[in-house]
Amino acid sequence: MKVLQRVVLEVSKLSKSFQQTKVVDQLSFSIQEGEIFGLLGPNGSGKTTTIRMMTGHVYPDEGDITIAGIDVMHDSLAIKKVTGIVPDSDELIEDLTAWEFLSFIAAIRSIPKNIATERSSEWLTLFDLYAHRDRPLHSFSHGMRKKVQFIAAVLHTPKLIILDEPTTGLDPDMVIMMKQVLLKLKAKGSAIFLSTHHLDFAQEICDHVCLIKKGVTVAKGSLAFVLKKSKSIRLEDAYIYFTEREDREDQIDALLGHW
Amino acid sequence: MHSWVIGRMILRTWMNRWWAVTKQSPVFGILPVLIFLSLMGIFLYMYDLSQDGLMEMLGVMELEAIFPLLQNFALFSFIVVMVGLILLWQWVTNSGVLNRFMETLPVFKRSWAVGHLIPVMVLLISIFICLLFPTLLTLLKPFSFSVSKWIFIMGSFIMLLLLAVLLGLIWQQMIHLVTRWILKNRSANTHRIFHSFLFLFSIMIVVGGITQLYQKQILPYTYLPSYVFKEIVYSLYIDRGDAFIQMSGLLFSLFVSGLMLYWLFQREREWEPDDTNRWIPLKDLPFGQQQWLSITSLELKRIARDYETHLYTMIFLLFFITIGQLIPLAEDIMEPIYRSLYGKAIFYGLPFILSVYPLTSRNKNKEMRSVYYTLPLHLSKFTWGKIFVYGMIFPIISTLLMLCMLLFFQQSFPSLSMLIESYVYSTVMYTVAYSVGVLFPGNQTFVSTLVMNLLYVTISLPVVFLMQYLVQTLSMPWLILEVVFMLILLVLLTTQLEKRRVMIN
Ligand SMILES: Nc1ncnc2c1ncn2[C@@H]1O[C@H](COP(=O)(O)OP(=O)(O)O)[C@@H](O)[C@H]1O
Ligand SMILES: [Mg+2]
Repeated sequence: MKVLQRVVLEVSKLSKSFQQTKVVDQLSFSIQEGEIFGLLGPNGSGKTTTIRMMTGHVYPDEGDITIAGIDVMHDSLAIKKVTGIVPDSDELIEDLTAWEFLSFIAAIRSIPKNIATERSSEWLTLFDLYAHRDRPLHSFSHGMRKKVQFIAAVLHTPKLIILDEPTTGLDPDMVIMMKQVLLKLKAKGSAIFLSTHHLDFAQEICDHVCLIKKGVTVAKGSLAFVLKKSKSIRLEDAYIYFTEREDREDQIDALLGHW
Repeated sequence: MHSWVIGRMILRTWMNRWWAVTKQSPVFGILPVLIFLSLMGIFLYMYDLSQDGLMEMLGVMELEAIFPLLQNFALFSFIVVMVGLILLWQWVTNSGVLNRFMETLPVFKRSWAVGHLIPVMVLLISIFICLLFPTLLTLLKPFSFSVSKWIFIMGSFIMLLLLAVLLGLIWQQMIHLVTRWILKNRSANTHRIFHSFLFLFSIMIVVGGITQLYQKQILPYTYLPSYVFKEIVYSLYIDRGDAFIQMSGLLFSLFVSGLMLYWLFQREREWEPDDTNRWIPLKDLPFGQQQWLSITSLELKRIARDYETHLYTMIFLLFFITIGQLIPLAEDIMEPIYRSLYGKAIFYGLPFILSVYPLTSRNKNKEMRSVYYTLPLHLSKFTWGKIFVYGMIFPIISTLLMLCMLLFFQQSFPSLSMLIESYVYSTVMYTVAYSVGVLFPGNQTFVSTLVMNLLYVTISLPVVFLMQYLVQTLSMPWLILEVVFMLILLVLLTTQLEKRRVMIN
């Protein structure tokens, strides 16, 4: 018997321009419970801007975003209650210790103290940070910071987890760990939105992908579908296939412009 | 020499920055000219001043009697330059100058710091020379020396100042090494606190101690460089012919201090302080159930751990206290007047000094984007949490501090109404300071901090006058009502400002 899956995030016809430059162009996709979705593209292709629209910090020019049935523009605070966000930068509240930081997050999110304590300890132990919990965050390395950010994003067991380039600057061990954790969370029914230019990583965990270049969707669908359509084995080859075809079309268009 | 390369690099970046702002607005182009003119201005003003003040006196004096004056002056110059250097060094090592970027370069931290010091030092010494030379010239005028002797004396004086510079650096480097030696394996912050303590202590020793010993003639002053300088002038005056020997003594001490400084820098090893198991203030303060309370708690923790600002405040408080200590030295008739003036200065000045905490508060929320934006936290709660700290808790601390200062240094107990007034007044000052900080968050560069401070001074002065007026005219309940009204207004204003910043379009 197939369980009816619910849509957690729905983005339709999303567009955004900064100073007449289209950064996101007619982007549409949806994510269901227990699914990992990858928004893939090189730097500057509009991934972070999409995320900032999803969290209500950038007004879209066009399009709608709903998370767990809530319109983002209508109530961005309610959105943040059901989502966990790992931002692209690794800034934290530097003066706090890791433990204090997680307590602070738990307090803001009104997680009962005993539950917060238990979960924080478990996550910190998993990530080999428990021994460092009483150290101020300004002494943490980039990798440690990313781990703390991740814990802060999942402490309230969100329905939707949004990760902006989670693997940049992580060592291979940590990337493997991240992969395991994300797959486990998926199995628990979480919806995961992943933005990355790390295509091998995306290929290993994503169910659905959307390849973008300069805000324009060049390919979209299940991983298998995208690979099959480009007759590739690796997502990287698929990306090259799709973007170069685009380029060629652009060239032809330019050539035939005067026709 | 690493420091030298870095010094040139810093000078380069200054020039580049100057060039960049000049291209934006040509007014800045005349900045070097302005600096030069103001230096000349200082020089001429000082010259004029010393001519007026000294010439009359010198005219009726025996030439021989000028020498003690000369020696005192040399000592004064020496101490001023040395203390200036120590303070500057402290500022350099405690300010953001030693940033993370430095850690990526294969240079010792101290040589990096000295590198930063070189351009500032050049400016500082120019200022000192402009301040000190006119007096020296005036003091030497009655002797009518020949040109070669003049040059000789000037050279000796510059050597004297250089010696002061070197000794200042040695002093700080010794404090630094002693701190490291005593606090082996302790955290960087413990080091910083201990270092600052030794630094303040040493300033008191230098300024207070030496002058005291000198006045009471306990110190064998013939060893003081200022004495040597006087001897040089004296020797030239009576043509004793040992001026060169005296000067070589000065040169020798310069050489020895240089070597010593070099040796002290050699002791410097790359060293990472251990940050584990260190004492963290307010570590056990809980975050509370309400969101705004969590922000309050966070802010209190942040304030308690802001050692840089503590140091700044400590220096100002020390300054305040020192002035208070001087009052009993005044003549009997003037003392009560000074005392009441000092009381007023504490009442109005203390909140002003402590305003640096709320003023820089928002500036320090560098994580605004990556932490708060991911949380379901309404901005008004964020603002209320902070206003609670600066409008309610901080005034208690500052009123208590005022009480202590009045008790210890004035032996007077303030009235209850004065305490309440102080509380209300500080509430206004701190919330206004916080709002100015939100209005002009900027970054932590020197210029933007400067602009923010200027803005705060311009805004807060009218507020102080208004408060003085209100305290005198309104009854207490009305005053409190006024203040509450103002608090609400400021919260609404700052929340609106923050909201605009969150949305990027
Ligand atoms: N606030 C903004 N104002 C102007 N341009 C912006 C702004 N934010 C992003 N951009 C531009 O939009 C483009 C997409 O940026 P971003 O979404 O950060 O890409 P990605 O996350 O995929 O690397 C970039 O060219 C960037 O310069
Ligand atoms: Mg990005």
